[in-house]
Amino acid sequence: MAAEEKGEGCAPKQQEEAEPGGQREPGALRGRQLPEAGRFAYAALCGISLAWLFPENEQSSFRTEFIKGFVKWLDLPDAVLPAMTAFADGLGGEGTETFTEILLKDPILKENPLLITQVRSYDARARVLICRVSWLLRIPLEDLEVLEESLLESLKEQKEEESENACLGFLRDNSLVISLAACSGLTGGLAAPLVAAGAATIIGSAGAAALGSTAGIAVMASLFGAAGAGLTGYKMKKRVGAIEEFEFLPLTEGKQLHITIAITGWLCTGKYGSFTAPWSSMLHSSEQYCLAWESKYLMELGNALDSLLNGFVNMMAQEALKFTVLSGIVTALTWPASLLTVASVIDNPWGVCLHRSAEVGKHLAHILLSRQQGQRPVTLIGFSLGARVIYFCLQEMAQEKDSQGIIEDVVLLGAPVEGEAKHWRALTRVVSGRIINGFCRGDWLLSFVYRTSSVQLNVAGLQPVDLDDRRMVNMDLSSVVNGHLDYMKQMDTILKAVGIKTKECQLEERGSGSLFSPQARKSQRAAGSEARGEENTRKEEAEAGSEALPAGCAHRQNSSSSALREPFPPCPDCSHSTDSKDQAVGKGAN
Amino acid sequence: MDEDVLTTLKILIIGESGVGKSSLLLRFTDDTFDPELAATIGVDFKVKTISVDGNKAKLAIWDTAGQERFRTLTPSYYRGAQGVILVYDVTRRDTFVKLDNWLNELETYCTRNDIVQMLVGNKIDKENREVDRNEGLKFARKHSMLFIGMLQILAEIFLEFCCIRKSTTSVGLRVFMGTVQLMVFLTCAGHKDNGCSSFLKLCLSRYLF
Repeated sequence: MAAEEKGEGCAPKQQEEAEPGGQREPGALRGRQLPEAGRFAYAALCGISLAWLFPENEQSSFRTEFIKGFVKWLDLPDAVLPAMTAFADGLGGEGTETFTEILLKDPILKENPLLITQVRSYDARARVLICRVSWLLRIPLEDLEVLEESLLESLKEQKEEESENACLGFLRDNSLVISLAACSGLTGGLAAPLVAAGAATIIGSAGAAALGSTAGIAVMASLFGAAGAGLTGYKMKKRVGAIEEFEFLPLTEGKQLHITIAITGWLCTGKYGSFTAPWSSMLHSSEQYCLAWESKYLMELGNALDSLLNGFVNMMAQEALKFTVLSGIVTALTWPASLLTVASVIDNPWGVCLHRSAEVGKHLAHILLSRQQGQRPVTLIGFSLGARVIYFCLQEMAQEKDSQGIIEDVVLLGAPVEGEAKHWRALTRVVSGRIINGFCRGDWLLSFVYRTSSVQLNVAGLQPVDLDDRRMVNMDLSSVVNGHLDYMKQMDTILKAVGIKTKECQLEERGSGSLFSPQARKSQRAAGSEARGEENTRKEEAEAGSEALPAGCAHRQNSSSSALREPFPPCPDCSHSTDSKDQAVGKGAN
Repeated sequence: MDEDVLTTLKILIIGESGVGKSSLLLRFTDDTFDPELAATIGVDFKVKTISVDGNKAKLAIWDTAGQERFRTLTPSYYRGAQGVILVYDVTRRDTFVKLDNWLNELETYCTRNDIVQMLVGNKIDKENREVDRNEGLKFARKHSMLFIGMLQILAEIFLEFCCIRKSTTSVGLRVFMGTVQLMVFLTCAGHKDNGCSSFLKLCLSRYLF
């Protein structure tokens, strides 16, 4: 065979590995030591994923830059660039299976299913891409986070050391390292590798990790925000607009490569008297903040809600209301006279907070845009008016330049905002991961406060947002949430249902992580991926039938995985659907 | 510019290593010849817009790597291809013999059953010719017959001989235009859903074989 190649040289693997690329740096990443076909497949996989994740025209420079940097990083010759760019632009992205198969079959990957993804700029889009690729390669997301943590450790250790090596030698020993390198680093030397590891043992070897950067301190500063102080260091210097209070409270003591900001909707006396109270069980990332805003007004609102529900409207009436709202005949809904007479109790504080939340949202947008949080992806979670804050934050960001790649996921629960798809379209520009709209059909309170408004028939917190975008995920929480107040009280359950990590599941993971050997872990993963497949179909069913009954999501709540941890509901075979779409278009033209 | 392009046709070039697939593409797109052309890695991609009677079509051409080590990657490109150009080297019999494997692979992975196939015997300018013209023609005829037998008039193999090295513009163009013409022809033959869409329909009136 080789003789027939006429000098083209069918290079065997050994030769491959001895290529200069592999030898140049002693600590070179294993990703570059994949056989050429493997590297090609890996780059192609990323290209196709990029095209799938960010098909918008405005993202084309990001895609091109990213893939260019990645090809270079993988030591692939420039000749493959046109093909890769074509992949990244959505041409020929018919299937990822072949590429995935090749990578999964690769002996190096089989022996040690460890994967590193490296990015120069740890942008939300990059993280979403990494999650997607990890998912395609059947690597659990939890492993990714473990590696994120260990990277952080090494960053901390190394931050004062300087190294000539601008690249990164991370886990160089027994691990296969596949990297995603983004060239468009706003941060210059920032090299943040992410590893999705096969076993928890990786953490041990992470001690040997060496992060090289021309200026470690600068890296740390840019990664974690101005002078490392980050969000807690942010103090509103002067009264901004109509905002009286705006502060970030740390929810967890930790540092991580991605952060979560939770926004509370109102305050109550008693157990839920603080901003942090509803989020006590949340552990989506080890660095979480809670936004404290306008506590005076939120407290007023909370009290109004309390008195409304516990005094003026009795339980029976509430149940009746719930079912009236649930039945969907909102137009014909006649509010009980008893409720209408006390309407002013709620209407006033609600109106004030509605206005304030929009202002706060805009302010939050500018803080995020100024990168107070550093170069890290941010996930925003909020309920009720907190969701409104997020909504306005995103709307504001969408109008600004350079707003892409900051927000990873957003979760809006019972959002008192308009639910028309055209208004939500703008959000897709800003959010890289998913936009989750958690709604409850029987939320009579939300329906009530919107009774006079023109958008009353179209409130996001009451119904799904009909936006055709891969990012948009609608979750019917009707079975979990009985009324608007439940968003606060049932937060733990809701978080689980939506797929935000809570302390409980974190513990479970840790437990299983250390118990299983890599082998067992592998089989576990295989099983997991099957289960995911099932859930996909189930989810689709649920979505298809979401019109029918709120009970449809009951099992979703019980199943351990859900929207966030199952990052990409459409499976890699989604190409089929695009195929058929193409054909449909073709037919239409005929 | 993309607005007046009526359709994008996906064309795939396959064949054994070193038969001149990339050179063929280079001749078509840039009209040059590079004797030192390195082996393709994975796949190469080129776009060329062609115009037939003022109707523009974009050809998205995927030039695959013939080398064994990239063979595993090839299946992913087959999907959605509308035209395939099979290339063999007339000075190397083995590349001709292996055409059968390529055809098998094509049948296995290709998602549409009306794919247009064009057979190209390359390097006819070389002295030590091993596969003669008739053999090629016979092969082409046999397989088009076969396809006609099985799937009525679904696909045909047309044979084109060329020497990329010495030729001028016309050769590459002839091969690709031939492929496109075949698509037109098939549309003409009454195949509704072969995806070549309006472009080919518009071309029908002028293109006759």
